[in-house]
Amino acid sequence: MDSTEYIDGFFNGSPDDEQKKQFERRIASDPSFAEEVAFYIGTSSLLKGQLDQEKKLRFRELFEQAKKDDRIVRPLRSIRPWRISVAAAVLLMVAGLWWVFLRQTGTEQLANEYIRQELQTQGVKMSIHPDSMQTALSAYNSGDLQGALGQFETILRTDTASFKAKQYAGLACLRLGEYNKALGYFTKMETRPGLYTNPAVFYQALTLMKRHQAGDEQNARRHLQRVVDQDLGEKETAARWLKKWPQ
Amino acid sequence: MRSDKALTISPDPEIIQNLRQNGPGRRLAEEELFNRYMYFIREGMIKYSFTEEDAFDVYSDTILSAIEKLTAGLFEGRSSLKTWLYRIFHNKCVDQVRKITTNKNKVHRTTTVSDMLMHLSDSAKSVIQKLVERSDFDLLKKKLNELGDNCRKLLMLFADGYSDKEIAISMEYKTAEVVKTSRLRCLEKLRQSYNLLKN
Repeated sequence: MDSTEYIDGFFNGSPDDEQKKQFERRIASDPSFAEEVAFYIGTSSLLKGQLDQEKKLRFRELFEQAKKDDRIVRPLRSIRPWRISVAAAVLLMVAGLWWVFLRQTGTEQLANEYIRQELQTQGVKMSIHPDSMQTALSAYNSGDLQGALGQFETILRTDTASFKAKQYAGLACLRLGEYNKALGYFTKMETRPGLYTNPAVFYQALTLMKRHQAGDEQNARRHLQRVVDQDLGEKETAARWLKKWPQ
Repeated sequence: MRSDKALTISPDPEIIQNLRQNGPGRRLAEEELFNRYMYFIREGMIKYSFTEEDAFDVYSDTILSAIEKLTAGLFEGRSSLKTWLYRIFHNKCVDQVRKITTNKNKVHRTTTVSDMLMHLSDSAKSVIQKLVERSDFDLLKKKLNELGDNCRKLLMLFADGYSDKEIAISMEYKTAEVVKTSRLRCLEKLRQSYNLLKN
């Protein structure tokens, strides 16, 4: 019993170097003690082996049961609340940006398409003696917008009531990106009475759609609605755009 | 009923604590650990082309090894429990592949003897190892089974990593000292009955 206690204490304690040497000396000098140590280790190993076997049997039962119940699944990763918040914020931001982008490109695209198709060139009257308006329009059609604008403004200085000069100057400004100036010309165009079709209000809407400042989109829509309601110039285009207008 | 309870997912610290406490919750914690990563078995079958039997053996050994390390406080928590466990599983899978390709036996957990011999110098280790190899384990097993339930349980619990104090609480002994005396008496009784027949 003394030896068993000694051996048990040695393997379950923290023997220092001297104690280890003493223990080893006894193994070397006392064969029956060595046998007791071997028995202790052998028994511990056997007990551990039996324990493992018992646990494995338990595990086998669990495994078979899980297979039967079809429960062997890789669990989903648990998501921490802060990660959900961050994901939600990012999603919201992306959705917001997407919405703004869609709205912007929606109305702006309509305006760009119209400008590309309808306002790239203007009709020029063929004449042996072209007047200053025709010269300015030629410049406009050739893409010299700045030159054309200068010429339209020269005409307006001598003929302040020229409806066409105001219209072309406005369109040149629109294409040059000078939206405020363009709006000024189109507003002045509006005051001209007696025309069969006056696209002034429609052009204002077009300019607002291009300028795209805060409130411009709503104003553009109001202008288009006015074109439709009052049967103004470019009514059909205005009606088509209003149908496509982003909600 | 038991398996339902075992499937409840506890966070890593809770399962580790339950394993370390060596209390009544330990068995459930062991089962929960086994249940939680049971899908490793399928991974072993797919990734290493093991049979279900081999993959189950490797996974069971992984869990047994992990339980031993967790109860001994050898898990430092530098990675998640899953990562740590998968590393053990992967290493055991690699061992198993080697065993299969070299036609050796299955992976067995024969660490107890070598772990204990680590305390000794090479010369002493060699003497003891030879003596252990000469042991008649069938006879020892037989004698262990004849020892009586109480003695067997005492020895089994101690081999499972329970301290004398924890055994005292679990088996309602008065003190840890009483447990130690009883346990060593049981061991001595086993040795005598074993030696009687062996010699």
